[in-house]
Amino acid sequence: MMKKAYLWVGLLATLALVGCGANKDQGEMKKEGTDVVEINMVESLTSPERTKILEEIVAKYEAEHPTVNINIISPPLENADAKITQMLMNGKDVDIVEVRDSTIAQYATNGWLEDLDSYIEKWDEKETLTASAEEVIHYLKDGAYMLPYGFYQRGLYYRTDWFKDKGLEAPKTWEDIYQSGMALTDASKSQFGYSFRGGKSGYQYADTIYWSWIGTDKIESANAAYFLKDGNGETIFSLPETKEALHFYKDLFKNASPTDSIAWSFAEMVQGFVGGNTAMLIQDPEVIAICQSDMEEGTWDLLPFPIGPSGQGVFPNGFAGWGMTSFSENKEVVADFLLFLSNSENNTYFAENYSTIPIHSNAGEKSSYFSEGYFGVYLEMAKQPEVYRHAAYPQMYEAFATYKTEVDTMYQKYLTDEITDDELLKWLDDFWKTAYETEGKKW
Amino acid sequence: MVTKGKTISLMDGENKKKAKPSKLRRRRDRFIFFMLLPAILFPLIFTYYPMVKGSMMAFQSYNLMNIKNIKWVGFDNFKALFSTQMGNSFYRILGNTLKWVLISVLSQFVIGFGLALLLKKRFKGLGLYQALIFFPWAVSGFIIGIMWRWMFNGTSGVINDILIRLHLIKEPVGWLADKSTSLYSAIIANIWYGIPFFTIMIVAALRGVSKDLYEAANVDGATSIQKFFYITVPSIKSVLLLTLLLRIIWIFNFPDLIYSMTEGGPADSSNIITSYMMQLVQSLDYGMASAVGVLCILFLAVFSSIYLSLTRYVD
Repeated sequence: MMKKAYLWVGLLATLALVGCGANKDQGEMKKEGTDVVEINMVESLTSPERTKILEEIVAKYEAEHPTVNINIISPPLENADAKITQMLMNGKDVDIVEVRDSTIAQYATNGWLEDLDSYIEKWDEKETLTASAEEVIHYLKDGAYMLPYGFYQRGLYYRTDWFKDKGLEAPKTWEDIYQSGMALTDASKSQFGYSFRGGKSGYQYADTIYWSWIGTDKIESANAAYFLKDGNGETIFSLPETKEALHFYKDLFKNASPTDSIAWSFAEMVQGFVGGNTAMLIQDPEVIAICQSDMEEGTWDLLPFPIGPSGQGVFPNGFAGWGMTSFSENKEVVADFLLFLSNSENNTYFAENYSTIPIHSNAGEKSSYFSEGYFGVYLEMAKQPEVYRHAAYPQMYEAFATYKTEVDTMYQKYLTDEITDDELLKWLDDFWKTAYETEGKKW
Repeated sequence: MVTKGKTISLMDGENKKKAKPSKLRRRRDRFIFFMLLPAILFPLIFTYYPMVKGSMMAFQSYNLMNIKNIKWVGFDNFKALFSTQMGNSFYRILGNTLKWVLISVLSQFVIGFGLALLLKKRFKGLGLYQALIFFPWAVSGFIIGIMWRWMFNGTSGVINDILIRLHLIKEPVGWLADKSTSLYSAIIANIWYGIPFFTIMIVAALRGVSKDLYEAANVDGATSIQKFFYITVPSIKSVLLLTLLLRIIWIFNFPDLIYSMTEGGPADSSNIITSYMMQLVQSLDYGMASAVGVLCILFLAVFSSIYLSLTRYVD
């Protein structure tokens, strides 16, 4: 995976060089006529494949608007967000920026993003936006700071052949995952039930288990799902269900997962599943493409997210999109291009080639990719909103940046018996109570 | 050499007292000053200004999550680092840093010295052998880290595979996932990486030692151990002391391997002070990161002066 990342960086550098050359030529050609509007667009989740799709859509727009020249800037994936922060701090030369669920609060709080509400209001395609899209456009209560391009929702990947050999049913609930996971675990063969994530961002997996145990009805907002309904800053970490779910989380690690998965993050957990060490994996739709290319057809399948004792399967509605900078000098042009990029046709094309869930409800009509095959699972889940719910960690808090770097270590200490369940839950509870007291209600 | 310099400067001083500063002399002084100016200005602007500016952040609440809310907080960041609250691993990180530096440097030094002694004598194929030895030094720390990370991988790593085939272990070990082995795994990778530096430097120094000394020792009937401790080591003492000091500073400031192998985990068991600083930068808390940075500068400054005065290198 890391090797791949380096290859990508190399390829990207080449592409960027080639790209720069091409853009310059176009720019010079246009300059002969009227004034050319230069728009700089910075992407964060860069990959050569994705940049190519964006370039295609940009070329289409430029053909229709000969006086507009859009440059795509692609910093290397590894530390793209840090680079983008520096560019935004400079306060010039960036018109469009890729905004993620993990960066939107930072960019908006610092006043780097323009409110897009007035443009979206006038948009003739706003009627077909999905509920998920509506939900995240107003992620921050004081404005629409970005237009999403897609969602990363989780599903359960599993080895159909292993399950068949053991005579096990396809897992539907977290309990199923645990029971079948234990049955499939055989450490001497390096074979385990579940691709556990204990490394970077492992806390997100613990959170989905908590929410599936508690149910979203007790939670005040799906975007800040650590806080209880009418709780005035009280958190889910004080509930008995959470403690029970935390014990389940530890058991899943101890009895059905590889020991070294305490340090696993995205690359290792996917490698564990694809490489034949683990039987189950919970991940985003981008893993579909990896499984298709590296695994034999018929040995794996994608299932809906597992359901907890609350009768719900709860997972974050991971999102990313495009924002306009507050200091852009060509706001009308930028808005026009953003709406073009996000229209049903272009967004569906983008989502299909980049494995994200599209933002328009008519995507299934535009492309069978979203109604048939592996992706059908997501449509299936969308049809049962009473079972499959969204909830996410309160990323709009300033304290979240600190939380993100400290929390994984705390979970690791708990999983290795260095601290107790009560100590961990108290730490979590104190952290978010303090954040609420200092920053107030932010959703 | 040193005494000669001293005499000259003394004489210069005596002359100064006697002669009145002439116009020509003042002009010469001014000329020297302007010639020296770039050498003073460049470090001031490009090294010390950013350093002071960066250090100031250590006393501020400086979080990129909200740059409109930057304020002075005195020693709060340092207090938070040294707090004994549950969940704070800073003392563990300091202990890890000590182990990381001491074990890495000493092992690199001993093995590097040994290899240098082997390379001292010229033999057929020396060039190729030297190139092979020096190779790791030419590769970036991050790439070395990623390479070792997969080698130490608990489920599909080659190290487990070899140890199982040799019947040294029965089940695969999660080297980087176990709190008791993660730091030492990173140290092994670091030792492998750093040996060539000592070898290169010590070989160069060894080749400069006069052969006459060894011949004289042979005439006196000295043993090889005596020759090693009474001729070899004293002759290259200054190189040994300097390379040791340099390596200690470098290894202290070398989070690349830790970061790419374990990211300091699990549970901070392999975190060292500089990889912790990188994590703080990633969390956008530049105030805390800068506080850790200031501590690093202080540690290294104090350590270097003690080291140099103990080894009397300044003499």
